[in-house]
Amino acid sequence: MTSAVNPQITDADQAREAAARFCALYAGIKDQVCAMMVGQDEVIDGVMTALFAGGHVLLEGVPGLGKTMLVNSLSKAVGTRFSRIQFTPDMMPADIQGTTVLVDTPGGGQELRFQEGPIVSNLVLADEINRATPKTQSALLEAMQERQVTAGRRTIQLNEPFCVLATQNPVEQEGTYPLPEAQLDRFLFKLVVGYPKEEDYAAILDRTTGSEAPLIEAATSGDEVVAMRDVVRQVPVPDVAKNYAIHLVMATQPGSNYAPAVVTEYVALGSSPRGAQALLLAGKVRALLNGRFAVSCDDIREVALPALRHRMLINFHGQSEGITDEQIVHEILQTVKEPGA
Amino acid sequence: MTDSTAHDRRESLGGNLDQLAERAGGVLSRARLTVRARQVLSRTVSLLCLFALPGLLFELFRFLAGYAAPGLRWWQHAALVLAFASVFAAGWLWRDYRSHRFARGATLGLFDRQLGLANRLATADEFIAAPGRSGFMAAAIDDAVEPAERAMHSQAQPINVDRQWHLSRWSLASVPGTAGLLLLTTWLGGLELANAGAEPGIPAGGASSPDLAVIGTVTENPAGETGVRSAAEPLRLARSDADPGNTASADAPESEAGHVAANPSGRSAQQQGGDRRSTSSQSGGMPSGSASRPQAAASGQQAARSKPSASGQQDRQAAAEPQAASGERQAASATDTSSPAGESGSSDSPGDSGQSGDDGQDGGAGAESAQAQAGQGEGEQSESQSGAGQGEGDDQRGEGEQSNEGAGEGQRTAEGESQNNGESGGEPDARAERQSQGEGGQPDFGQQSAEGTGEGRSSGEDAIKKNRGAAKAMLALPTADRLIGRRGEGPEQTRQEQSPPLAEQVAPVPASARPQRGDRIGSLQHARVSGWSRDLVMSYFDRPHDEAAGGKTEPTNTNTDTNAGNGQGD
Repeated sequence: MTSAVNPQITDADQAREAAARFCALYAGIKDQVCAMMVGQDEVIDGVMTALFAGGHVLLEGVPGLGKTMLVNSLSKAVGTRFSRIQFTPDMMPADIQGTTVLVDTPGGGQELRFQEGPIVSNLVLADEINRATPKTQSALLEAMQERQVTAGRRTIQLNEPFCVLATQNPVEQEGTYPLPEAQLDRFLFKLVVGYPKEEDYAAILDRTTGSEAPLIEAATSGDEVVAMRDVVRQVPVPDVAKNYAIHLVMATQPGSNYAPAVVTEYVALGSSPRGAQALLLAGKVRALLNGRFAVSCDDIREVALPALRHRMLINFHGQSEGITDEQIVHEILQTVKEPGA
Repeated sequence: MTDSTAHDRRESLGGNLDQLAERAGGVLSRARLTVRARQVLSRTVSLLCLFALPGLLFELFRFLAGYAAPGLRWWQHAALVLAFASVFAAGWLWRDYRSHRFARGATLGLFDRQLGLANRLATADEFIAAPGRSGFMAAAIDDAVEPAERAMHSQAQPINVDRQWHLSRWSLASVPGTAGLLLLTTWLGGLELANAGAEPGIPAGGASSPDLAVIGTVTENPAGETGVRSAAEPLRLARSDADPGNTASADAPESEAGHVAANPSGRSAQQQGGDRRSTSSQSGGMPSGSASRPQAAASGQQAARSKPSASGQQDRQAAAEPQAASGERQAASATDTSSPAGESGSSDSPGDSGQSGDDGQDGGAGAESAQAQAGQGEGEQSESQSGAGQGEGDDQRGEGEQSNEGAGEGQRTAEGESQNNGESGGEPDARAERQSQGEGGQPDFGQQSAEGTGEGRSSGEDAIKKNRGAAKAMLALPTADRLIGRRGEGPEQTRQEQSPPLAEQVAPVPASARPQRGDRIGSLQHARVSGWSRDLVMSYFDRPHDEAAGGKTEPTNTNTDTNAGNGQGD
C-alpha cells in the first residue's frame, strides 16, 4: 500500500502516473463493492466519486434496494472505520457527537470522561436521516462542513477520509422531518437508488440466499484515499469548463440570465456556489476516470444531475404541476450551451 | 515516441492551434454573419418608416416653399427608401463584422465539438499560455497534440443556423406604414404641381384665405371690434359658466360687443384676464372720469359683489348695453386727462347708478339683489352695496374683479366712498358688516382698498374655482359660500386630584376579652420514618447538639416514635 499525501505534481509523467494509479484504485474498490452489490452502477460510481471528491452523499430510495449494504460494502472495500447511526425521532445530538460519562477508574475511583459519538469515524452511515428531528440533523452540519465536532468545550478534529453517507426513504413521510436546505446543500451528491433490472435479480438472489456470503476485502486504505483526493484536487479546470459550471449553477436560480423558463416558473430557490464547487470537484474525478488531465464540459454535464438536483427548491406551482428536480436539471442541460457554442 | 519527437510535436501544437483557430473563426464568422443579417434586415424593415420620412419632409418643404418644379414619382420615392434601407443595413452589418472577434477558445471549441475531442484543443490552447504550468496542465497539452494533428487534416463543417426568419409585429406593421408614407409623399408632390403657378416665397393659397384677410384687417385697425371679439370669446364663456342661470343674456351678440368694447385700452379682454392683477391696479388707479356710464358700470359691479349670483348678471347687463359700452369708450378716452383715483366725485350721478341696477334687472339678474337695488334706487345704496361686497372673502372679490374688467374704471372710487356706509348696504350681510367694521378704522379706502383687494385676487378663472368649485362651475349646482357648522370643542383636559386618606375610628379590643384556647388542635399527619432514614435524620439533627455539648448523645427513638405516633412534631 502506497503512502499518503502526494506532493505537488509538476511533471506530465507524474501526472500520468498519478492518474493511472487513481484509475486502478478506483477500479479495485469498485470490484470489491460489486462483489456484493449487483447492478446500481450509477449509484456505485456516484458514491465513489463523492468519496474521492471529498464530499458526502445522500442516498434516496425505497427500502430494500441495498442502500445500507452499499455503504457497508464500500467501507469494507476502503478499509476504514465505519459506523452506523440509525436515526430515530427521539435521538439527541449527544447521541451523535458524544457525551461525558462517569466511568470507574482502575484505582477504584470514578471520573468524567468524554465518549465520542458514532460521528467520529471515517465512513458514517446515517440511516434514515430524515427520521431524526432537525435539532439532531443539525448536529451533522459542523461535521460535514468543517470536519470537526464540538461537544461542550471540546472540539474533535475528524480524521480523513470522512464521508457521511445518508439514506432516506422518500415514501414514508409520517414521522419524518425533511432535511433543511442548509444540510441538503452540504451533500455533494444526491443519488436516487432505483429498482434493479430484470437481469440483476437472479444474481441478487443467488448472492443473498446462498449459503456463502460474498467476502469483501479491503482494496485500499484511508491514507491512500486521502492521497487520491489530493490528486483529484490537482486536476486543472480550463475556463470553458469553469464557465460552463457557473452557467449551469446560475441557470438553477430563477430570474438569472441563464435560467430557462421552467426554472423561472417552477423553482423557488436555486443552487448556491456550493453547487459549482460540487460540479468541479466531481468533474475532476470524472475527468481522471475518462482518461483526461483536465476537466471538460462533458465531465460537468455528466455530474450535473446528482450535483444539482437537491439544491433546487421547487415552488408550490411546480409541485402541483408534478415538476421534478430531474426534469428541471435536464431542461437546464438542454438550454445552457457550452461557452462559445 | 522519443523525447525529441514529442518535443517537436509539442512545439508544433501552437502553430496547429493557430491555424485551426483561424479556420474555425472563418466558419463562425460566416454563420454569425448569416444570423446577424437576418436580425439587421428585420430591424431595417421595422425602421422603413424612418427611411420614408426624408422624402416626405422633402416634399413638404417643396410644398411650403412653393417651388414650381414637379416632385418625384412614387417609384422614385420607393427607390430612395430602399436605397436608404440598404445602406443602413449594409453599414450595420459591416460595422458588426469588423468589430466582432471570436474568442480563441470559442473557435477551437468548434473543432472540439465537431470531432468529439472533449475540449482538448481549447484546454491545451489555454494551458499553453498559462504561467506556472503544473504537471496536469503539461499532460493536458500533450494530450491535445494528437487530436490537433487529426483536426488539421479535417475540415470544419459549416454551422447550420436557423433557416426561419422571424419578423416581429412591429416589422410587419412598418411595411404598410411605409406605403402610407409613400402615398402621402406622392400626394404632396401632386399638390405641389397643382400650385405650381404660385409665386415663389408666397404660401400657396395664403393670400386668398378669408381668415388671413380678417387678420390683415385687424392689423390695420387694432381697436376694431372684429378682432377683439374673437379674443374676448373665452372670457364670455367663462362667465356663463360661472353663473349658468343667466345664459340668455350672455349669449346675446350685443353683449359681447358691448362688453368687449368696454376695454378702453384696445387690448383684448383675454390679455387682461391673463394679467388680472395689473388690470386691477390699472383700473384702481384710473380716474373715474365724468362719464355716467362708467359709474353705471361701477355700481353694477358693486351690486355684483354684494350678491355673487347677481354679480355676473350685473356685469353682463352693464356689458350688454351698447350705450354703456360707448360710454365706457368715452371713459377710456378720457382716462388720459382725468384726475387720479379717489379724487373724483364718483357719486355725481347717482341716478345712473340706480339706472345700472335697473339695467341689471332688465338683463335677467337675480331678483333679490335687483329688487334691493331698485328699491334703493340711488347711487348711495349701490355704493353701500359695494362696501358690503368688499367685506366678502377673496373668492367673492375674485368674481367681482372678473366682472370688473370692462367697466371698472369708476368703481374704485365708489368703493372708497362707500366704505363707511357698509352697514347700510342693500344686503344685510353679517360678513359685510364684519369686514366693514374691521376696515372701518382706516380713513381712506379709495385707492388702497382697490389695491389691497387686487392683491388678494387672483385671476378670474381661479376665483371661480375657489368660489364655486367644480360643482358650481360645471354642474351648475348652488354651493354655499361658507360651511355652516360649530367649532370643535378642542382637546379634552384631564385633571388629576389627590384625595387625602380619611382616618377610620375603630374601637379597641382588650386582650382580656379574648378567651384562652383550650381545645385540641387536632392530629397532624406525619410520615412515619423508620430504619436507616430515621437514623439519618436523627443524626443530622443531633450533630449540632453534639458539637455544642462536646459529646455525643444517643438519640432517643422512643421520643421520635412518640411524636410520630401522636402526630405532634416539634
